[in-house]
Amino acid sequence: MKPSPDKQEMVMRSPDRVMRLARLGAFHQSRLSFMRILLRRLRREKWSFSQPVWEIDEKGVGTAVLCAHGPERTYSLVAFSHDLPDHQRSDRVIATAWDATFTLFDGTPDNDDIARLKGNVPLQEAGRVTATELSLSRANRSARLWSYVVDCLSKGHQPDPDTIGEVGYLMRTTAVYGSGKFGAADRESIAARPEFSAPFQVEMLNVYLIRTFVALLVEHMARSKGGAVATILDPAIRRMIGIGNSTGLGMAPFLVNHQSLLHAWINAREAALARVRTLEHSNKHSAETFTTLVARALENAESWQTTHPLYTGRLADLRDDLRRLKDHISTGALSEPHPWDKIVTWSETNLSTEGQEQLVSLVLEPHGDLIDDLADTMACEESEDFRIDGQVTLEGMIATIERHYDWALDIDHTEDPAHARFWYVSEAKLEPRLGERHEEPGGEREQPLAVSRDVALLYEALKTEPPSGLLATFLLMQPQHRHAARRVQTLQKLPYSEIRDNLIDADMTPIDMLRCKLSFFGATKFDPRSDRWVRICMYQHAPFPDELDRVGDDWIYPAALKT
Amino acid sequence: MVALSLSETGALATKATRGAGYSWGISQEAGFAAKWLTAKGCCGLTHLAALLSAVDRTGPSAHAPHLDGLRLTGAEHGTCGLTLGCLISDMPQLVLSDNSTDLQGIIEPIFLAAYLAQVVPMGKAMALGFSKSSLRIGASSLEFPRSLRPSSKPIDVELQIIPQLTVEDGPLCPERRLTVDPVILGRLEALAARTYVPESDVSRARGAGGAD
Repeated sequence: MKPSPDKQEMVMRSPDRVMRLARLGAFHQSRLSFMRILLRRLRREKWSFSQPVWEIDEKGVGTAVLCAHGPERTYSLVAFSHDLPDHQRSDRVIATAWDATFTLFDGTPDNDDIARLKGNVPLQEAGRVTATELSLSRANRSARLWSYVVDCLSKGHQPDPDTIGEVGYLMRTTAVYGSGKFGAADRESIAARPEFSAPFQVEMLNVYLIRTFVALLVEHMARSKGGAVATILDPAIRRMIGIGNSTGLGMAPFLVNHQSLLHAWINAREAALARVRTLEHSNKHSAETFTTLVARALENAESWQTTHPLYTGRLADLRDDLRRLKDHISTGALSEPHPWDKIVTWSETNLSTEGQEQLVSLVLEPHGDLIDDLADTMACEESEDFRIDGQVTLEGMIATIERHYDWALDIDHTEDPAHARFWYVSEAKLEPRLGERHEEPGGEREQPLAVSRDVALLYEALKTEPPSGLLATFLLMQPQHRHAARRVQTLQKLPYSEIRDNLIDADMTPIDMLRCKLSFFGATKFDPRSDRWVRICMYQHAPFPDELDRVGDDWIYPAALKT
Repeated sequence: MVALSLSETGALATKATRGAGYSWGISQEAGFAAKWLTAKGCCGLTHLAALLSAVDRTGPSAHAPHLDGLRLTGAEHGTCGLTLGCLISDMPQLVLSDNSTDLQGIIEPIFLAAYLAQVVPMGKAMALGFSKSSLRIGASSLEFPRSLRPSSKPIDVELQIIPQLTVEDGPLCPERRLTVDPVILGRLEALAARTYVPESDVSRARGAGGAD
């Protein structure tokens, strides 16, 4: 039974605890991650899939269309597959050629549509799509795995599961654009469709179909090479193949620029945790499921590989944490009253932040009936929180800042490390970047992402004015504070809408912002390549379209493959 | 002619306004207003280009309205319709306390419509009259004459609260794409480019993402 909203709110973790970069950067995928929300819908609504066009030659070059048929509408991945020389393969945003390029088409494309798309989609940013296209994306083959898998299958062998597991993907997307980018359909135009009501469902469907295309393509190329000897992927091995992704700073400002959405995501996750914590007892099913998934999560953590110093230590901590958690539950922790609350409280003094956040995801797992409806609260109409109330007094604004931005006021932004960096948009790549203020030119063109500093400046300016003055008058005279004033009023309404750290500090780690967002996508196997660039895996172990009705929603924590 | 999505419209409007010297907060408002107008079939970017062209020489602050208590006065060389719209949004009683308000010398008053729609009293509509044009604004609708053209010149405006529109409020039409003249687009993109930072030896060496 769901707790009352009041009780739920009482046990929700405070924004001051949750909204720290170190914690957000330790989030793991959960039941409320967007790719899991999508797959539950596809299964529940019995979506079917077809492949009306497959015009791919023996080199893997050509066009394919893969359709997903829902209860009311069909969506089609239009794929253009290329034969890219190795030296042209780059994950950089300025790359101009890829192994495969895609768009998700709204409906089923006819020949004219495909011809139009063929002239634009392979060009990516240099091309143009229209409102009938919902996304634009591209992917490159894994240099480590592609040829190996083609060779194995062409000879009639299955690839080695350990080798597959080490990489986790055959292709890696380098960009998945949606929401009106490069002419594609606006989010507003499709948000009312039930299948796209949760955030990023277009992008998640796009990537899911890319994964299907990639498996078909590798089998096609093996068949072309090996003829009758060739075989197809064993379904268990095929499920180990996800889609890789390489994500840089371009994604980082999203969480700052979409305050209402950030609140909606975090609030849903925290509300889910609170609901579980209010349960008085575990039952046989929830205790068994949790115990099994803790063991599998440990196996997952063991297979999660990274060599980056930012993550090697915390990954070791996570493995230790999961062993400790396993021991803890073996002592009967789940048989006590209020077991979930107690185990979360226990984690706060016994596990690292990485382990605590893994536990949050794990305790949600057995409780789909209790929490899955929260997926419906994760999208929002951002314009509803856009308007500034200019009729509040300056005294009132000062009090609001002191109450909600005490963490920002505690920072001395005049000291070098605290304003060492600035966010900007690169002229060459039109992408967000992070500069060193004292070493690079361009600080005067800074993006409005220095939230703590800007709110502190607003606060100082407010204090010099008569307290009874109105905010509207103040902002008319000092419009440079308008963006900060809007943030303050938004945070007052939406407590999880602000990252409570200094985003221009010398020690700030941008990949924490990437990890937070990617965890909501459902990404796994975070593998930083620097403090501002991370590789991940999506849909690894997820059911393929032909097995959606056979593989459970716990696919994200797979049992080890027995070979 | 180029057809932009609403998302592209909003993003370009924000960057171009910032490039023209407005604060980030007002620039975000420009993105909101340009999107809103475009979704109603009125090309927000074309009107924004006219507005930014008018304020480019003197700077935005020279075109901000003045407020003394509830007494609103315009700027000497024309009041920016966008800045005035923001003020009305912040403090709706400026135009809601009387049934009729005269506003003098407004540059691109169409921008007021995006904000009046946010504050229109329940059960009422608003009429915005200028230069022989008459616009009617509901909580989620905008009726405007197709003959309305962008202009950089300040014009006098009469604002009235009227009974609810007799026409049905139209829903937002977010899939609507309006074409933008490439010359106007180029002008806005040039302003937007003022917000970008050119590469430097340091930034090139540092790299930033992907496989940099």
